[in-house]
Order: sequence, then structure tokens, then C-alpha cells
Amino acid sequence: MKTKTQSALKAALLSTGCLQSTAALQLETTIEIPRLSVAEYHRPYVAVWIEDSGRKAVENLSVLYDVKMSNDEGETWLKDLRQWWRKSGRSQDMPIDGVSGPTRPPGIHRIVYRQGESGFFNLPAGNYAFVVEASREVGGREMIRIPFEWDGQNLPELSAQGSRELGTVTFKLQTNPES
Amino acid sequence: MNIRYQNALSCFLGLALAASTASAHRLWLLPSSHVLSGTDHWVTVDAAVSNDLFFPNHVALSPESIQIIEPDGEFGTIENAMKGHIRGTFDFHVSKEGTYRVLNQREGYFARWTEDGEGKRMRGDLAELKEAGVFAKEGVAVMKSLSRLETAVTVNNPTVDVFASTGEGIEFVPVTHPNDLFANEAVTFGFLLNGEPAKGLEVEVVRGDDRYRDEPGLQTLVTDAEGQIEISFDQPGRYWLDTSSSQDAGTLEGAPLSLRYGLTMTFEVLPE
Repeated sequence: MKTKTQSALKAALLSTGCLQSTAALQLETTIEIPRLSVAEYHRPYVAVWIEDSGRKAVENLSVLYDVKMSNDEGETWLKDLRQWWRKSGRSQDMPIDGVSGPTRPPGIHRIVYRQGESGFFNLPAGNYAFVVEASREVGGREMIRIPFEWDGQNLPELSAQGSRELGTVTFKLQTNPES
Repeated sequence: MNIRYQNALSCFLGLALAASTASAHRLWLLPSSHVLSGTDHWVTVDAAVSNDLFFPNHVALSPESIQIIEPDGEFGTIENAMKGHIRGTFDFHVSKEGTYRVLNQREGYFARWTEDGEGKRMRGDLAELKEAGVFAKEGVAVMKSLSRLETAVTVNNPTVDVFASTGEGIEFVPVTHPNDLFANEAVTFGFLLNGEPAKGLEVEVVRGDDRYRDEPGLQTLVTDAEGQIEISFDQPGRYWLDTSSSQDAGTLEGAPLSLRYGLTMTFEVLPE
């Protein structure tokens, strides 16, 4: 499914030429999930999305949760990603193809969203925020918001530091080295 | 949607006084969750009349007096109902998407008169009052009361069908949905009185856990011409809202009649 959609999208994007630099772009993020010394540890649920200047969710990038639990029980705690749930999750039919994924262990996780695969690159020029929200069962919750300007030309490299449930979060727009 | 309310007269007895006197004990319904994700859950609800929010310390509210209105207007089933001395409790199963309404509706009549120099009073429905010959008593005055106590629980996307107006009493209008409340955001709540925007209604709002504060921090707001209040909550938590309205309404069977309407709600405000 992926390759076909990908090439079709890419062709469509190339033909429109809007917000299009010559080489394909990608958004690379690293999300640090800190190792915590607690009696009962569960991997956090993490949502990654893009908000517009009115703080409306305009693109879901990733939602990491217990996707594989039987009877969709993993969805029970999605509401604890409070802002994501409110702005997007509650109106989605879970799982979301290409967005839902399993939880990750403590460590630094690199995720790349490529032009042609992610709808992010179709957004009109403007001010946006890259948002990461993490919520841990029997634990805390933290949200990081990285504002950025998107025009398809300037490629910002930004980062922010979490304090409890998230470590360093980086946000980098770059040309796709494989394009 | 056709919402028909069960007769909750049994519950009216005893509670009307609690609801209408100035020394107000507070009636409340407290669900275990207000916001749910996924599709198959149990919600448990505590129901009580108390002074502290939301700690039982006075009398229980009977689960029998409570209805669950499901997102599609069907009635839900109350399970594991228990009435203790100071707290009623029950569960209901949640398997539909949208907003559920948990409702305790009380209505009835209250008559006062003086007989042989002694103050008399009687509660009941209209037939009971007539049968007792209350309307023939000298100097009798009658009050008709309709009060609602409610809360809302939402699975996935909030919906508003359960708030459809019946046109009678005070009713809540979810301008801002009661399951979509966050601290430090302005929200708008609307109220209807007999189906029309309730202008000039005094609405009291207070956060729970007042047991742990010297200042309860009660907010009193007055509805505007559209029957709305705008409010924000500086702290997340569970809140209690209460409003009532009284008016003279001519006579009933020759006795002066007054109407009293009340609405009490519990809702949850989340942190950002």
C-alpha cells in the first residue's frame, strides 16, 4: 500500500509545485524517553502532531500506544494524552494508518517523516508548532511545544528540553538525502 | 429524540427541603470518569447529599431515582445499586460513543397552611394533595417544584443530543460541552427556563475538595440576555454548579401557586 500511495503523492506534489523545493524534504525528530527509577514502570504513550497558529491539530505524525492489546484495550488510556485526545484523538478512528505505532522503551528515538508520505509537507506556509505529548500509566504526563515557521524553503533545526516524562526533543527539517 | 422521564416522586420526599432551604446541603452525582477513550467501559457513580464536595457526610441519594440517558436517547441500565447511610452508588456500562447524561429529576408539590394555630405542610403529587383536601384548607399556599441533578460522561467525541430541551424547568445548554473543559480557558454555559433563554439567573460554581480550603472560592455569576454565563476555572478539578429560580404562577385550585426550578451539575475541569 505504502509505495503506491507514496509515488502517487509524490507525483501530485511535484506537479502542483506549491511549497516545493527542488529536492524532497523530510522532517526528522528525536524524542528522548527518560529512564526513570520507579517501582512500577510502564512505557509512556506518546503523541506527535502539528498545530497551526490557532493551536488546532492539523496533522497527526505519530501516536505510540498499546496498539496490539486485545479488544482494543490499549485505547482505554489514549485519553490520558489529554491535549492530543481533545484536539484530534477523540475524533479519529483508531488505529490511524501510518500514524499508530507501538510504545517505545527509554532511550532516544529517531523518527523520520518524508515528503510524499506525510501530509505535513502539504500544509500551507505559516506558523505552526511541533507538539510531543507523553503520558505514562501510574506516572506523569508532559507536553512539549516547539513553534516553527514553515514555508518550504527555510529549514529550521530546533530543540526543546523536557523535565520529567520527556528528555530532549529535536525537530529538524532537511532535504531527504535519498531523494 | 424522545426522552421520557420516570416519575421520581419517591425521591422528591425529603430532598425538596434539602434543595430549597438556605442552609443548603449539596446534592451531587460523582462519576468515576467524565472522559473516556475506547469503547467498552464501566462507570461507577456516587450519589449523595452532603456539605463537603465531594465527600459523603449527610444522607445518601437513592440510585433508584437516577436515570442514564445514552448518546442515542435510549435509557441505560443501573447495576450494582447500593444505598448506604450517607452514600448511594451504582455502575453503568458504557458501550456507545458520545455523551451520556446521568440524571436525577425530582418533581412534586409542597403545600403549607395553618390549622388550629399550628403550621402544617404536605408533600406529594397533585392527586395526593387533592385527596387530602389540602386545597380546602384556609390560607393554603402551594409550591410546584422541578429540580434536576445531573452530570455527563463522554466516550470519544462529545455529542449534545442528551441535552435536548423538554421545555420545562431549568435546563443546561452545552455552548461549551461539559466534558471539554480545561483550566484557564473561557467557557460558556447556557441555561433555559421553560425552554427560553434564562436571563438573570444566578449560578453558583465551586470546586470540590473544599474540605481542604479555608476559602471555598464560590463564584456567583448571572446569566446574560442569551441565558449564558462565561466562566473560567483557574484550577483543574471537579466542580459543582447550582442554580434555581422561583416565580409566582397565579393560583391552583384556588390556592396561590409558586413554581420553583433547580439545576445542579457536576463537571470536571482538566489541566492543560
